Amino acid sequence: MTSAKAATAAVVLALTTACSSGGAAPQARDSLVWATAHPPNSLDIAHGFNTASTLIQTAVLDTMVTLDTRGAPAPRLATEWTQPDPATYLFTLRKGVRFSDGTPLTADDAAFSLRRHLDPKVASQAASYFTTVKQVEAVGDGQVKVTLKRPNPAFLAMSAIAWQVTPRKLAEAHPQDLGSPEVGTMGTGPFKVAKFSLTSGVVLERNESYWGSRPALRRVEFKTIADPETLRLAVRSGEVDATDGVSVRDARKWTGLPGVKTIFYPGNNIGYLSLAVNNGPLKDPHVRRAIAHAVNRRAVSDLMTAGHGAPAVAMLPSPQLAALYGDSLPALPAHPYDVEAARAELARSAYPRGFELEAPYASTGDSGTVMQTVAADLAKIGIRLTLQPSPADQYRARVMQHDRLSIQYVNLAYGTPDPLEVLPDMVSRAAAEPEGFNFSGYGSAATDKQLDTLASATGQDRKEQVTALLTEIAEQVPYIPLFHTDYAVALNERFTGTFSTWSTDAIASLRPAGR
Amino acid sequence: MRAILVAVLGLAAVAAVAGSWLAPYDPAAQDLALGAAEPSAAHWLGTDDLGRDVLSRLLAGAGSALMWPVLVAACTTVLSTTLGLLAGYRLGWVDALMMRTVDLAIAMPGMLVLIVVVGVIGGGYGWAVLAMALLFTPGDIRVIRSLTLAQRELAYAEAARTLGLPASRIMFRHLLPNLAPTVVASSLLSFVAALVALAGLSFLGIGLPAGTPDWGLMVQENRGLLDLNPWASIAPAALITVVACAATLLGDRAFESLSKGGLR
Repeated sequence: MTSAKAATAAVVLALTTACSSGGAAPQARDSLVWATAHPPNSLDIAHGFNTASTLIQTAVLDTMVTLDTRGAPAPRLATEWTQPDPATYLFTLRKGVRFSDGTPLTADDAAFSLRRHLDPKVASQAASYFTTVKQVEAVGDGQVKVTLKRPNPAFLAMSAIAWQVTPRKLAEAHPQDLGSPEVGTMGTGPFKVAKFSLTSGVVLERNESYWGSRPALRRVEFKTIADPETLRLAVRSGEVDATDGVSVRDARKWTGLPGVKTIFYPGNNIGYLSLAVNNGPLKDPHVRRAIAHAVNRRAVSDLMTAGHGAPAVAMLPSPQLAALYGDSLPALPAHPYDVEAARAELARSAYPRGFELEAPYASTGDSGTVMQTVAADLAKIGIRLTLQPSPADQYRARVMQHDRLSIQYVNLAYGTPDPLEVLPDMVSRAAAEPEGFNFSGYGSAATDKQLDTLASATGQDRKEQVTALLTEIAEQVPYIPLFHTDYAVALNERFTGTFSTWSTDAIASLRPAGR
Repeated sequence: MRAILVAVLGLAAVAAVAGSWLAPYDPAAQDLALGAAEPSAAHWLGTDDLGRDVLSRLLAGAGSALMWPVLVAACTTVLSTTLGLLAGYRLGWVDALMMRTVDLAIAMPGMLVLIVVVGVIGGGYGWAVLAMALLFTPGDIRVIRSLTLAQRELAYAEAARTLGLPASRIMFRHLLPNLAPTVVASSLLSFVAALVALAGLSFLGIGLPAGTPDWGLMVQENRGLLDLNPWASIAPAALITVVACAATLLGDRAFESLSKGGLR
């Protein structure tokens, strides 16, 4: 070999080695890739009140209060609060807190961040959380006073979810598009937004001026991988370090992944059937009770939760029932699986021989599976469901518009241990309007009054009023509770983190294993 | 070889016609307690996650999987043959108008149009079949037209014109038999394309309701069960492949045989 050839070979070899070693270099341990099954649409809870968006919001935006491991309100940006009277809260702001651009946090920022949810121009998706708020004002430099229309024990829990604090100047200039990829957002949280694209994802970087414990991770990238199998393979290969897109129904596929730990914890959710009580045969309470008896909820629960959940016994998520009643759940009217009882109820209705009903569902996700089992159960008593598939977005739009509702499978997740987060969704007349979550349309002036009274009730009175509403729902059957599932996170063993039902700082808790 | 291909398609046809009757179980009957199970003496191809017998669903699904593509192929063949003959024989403005329309139609992304028709507009499976027939037709029109252009200049066609025979008689009684090899081969290819496209739509969850026994839908619904009962998704996928290959190869053979003067 000539010296020229030898030199060329050495250079090529060196370049090849450099390239190959670069490609195989393990990812820095202070950087993590998180995948979600759905893309975040906004980094402002007013317009992005969904699982994927709020996950990122909680890493960037601090709330005034948070929830502790038991679900009780705890200090965050507010170090303490007092109640001069039952309908007034006075929050004391943490001192020395700065937004990620270095601007000091003021009481005016905090007050405006709550007040904007009441502004119709903002059209906040979290507005229903703050319907009892009458006035929000900054008191001096360090306090915020919130006056409610009436006492509301759920206010603090709701605030822990939705009272995210952003600079007033930024939020005021962008009532509708704060949190969009064009505008972005800014907070006092452990991370700041380095990139946000609806197509290529989100990149967060550590907020070096964060007032709390310094996050262990320097950079967190969020990707969206919609297909469950692709997501699982991405986690298995190490392309993705963590995901909350684990379906507990497929838990068996995740628990055995090498180098990956799957963490399950109680989910504050409920899967249920909604029966449109103002439409066709479903107007008849005997028909609704017949359906409740005919659906084998245990079998549906076993199928959908694969051991990581249980049948739902009432129209509240299990953690909310536990927070309110402890182990002493009151006896509620039940409609156990009993085909003969279902036939007997149907015989007492105006449709003793059964009927046909169109039932729309989303063609992706679990909706089709649940509706197939329900259709098979109802066929046994002569109720023939015609399943109508729709693309998920189209289905969601139709359901949110309350357009031609009949029997719907719904699965909702909530953020607080307070039943007042759920019950207005289920039985208030306001939520029965388009964009509301009362898909059954059940509700009356009397139920609105009950909800109103419940909002300010405390102690035993509160328990009794919740029980009364749950009893009414169980008797009238606008909904059939099916099951609740655990939440699940798959995490590469190189990392560790803290996940719990009420945790709002899952991303900030992530750190390299061993630290 | 031809006997094997005919046998495969014959069996598929029998399944399409009598599949529900041949099925050992009710294809919709669920057994949630059993769930997804591997093949056994009771369930030769196992069960899906709702405990439904996979073999029964395959047999019952043959009708949906094959009849719709047959309908698409029939519509496409009739339309494309008629219009292709007209354009190629009449020429002039008829030909120009038809060919520009064909150019426009061929430029459209077929699968995307189908997804929009069925998924977004919500037209249902019937509309998908109609749209598919219309989408497949332009390509075949172009083929038939080009063959007609060649045939109309041959001596037998010239003689028919000299005798004063009406154009319709010349097109359908004299030219068409000479286009038969291509028409038959094209119709089989249309069947294959429709079979695969409709299976693709079902796989995307568009068109047919969940739970309908259909091969494409079975692949989609059962692909998550590869670790529990792989046959639940592999069997319908294999059937789609086998039938598509058989129809394609038979189309080739038919073209060759008919071109040589008769099916041998």
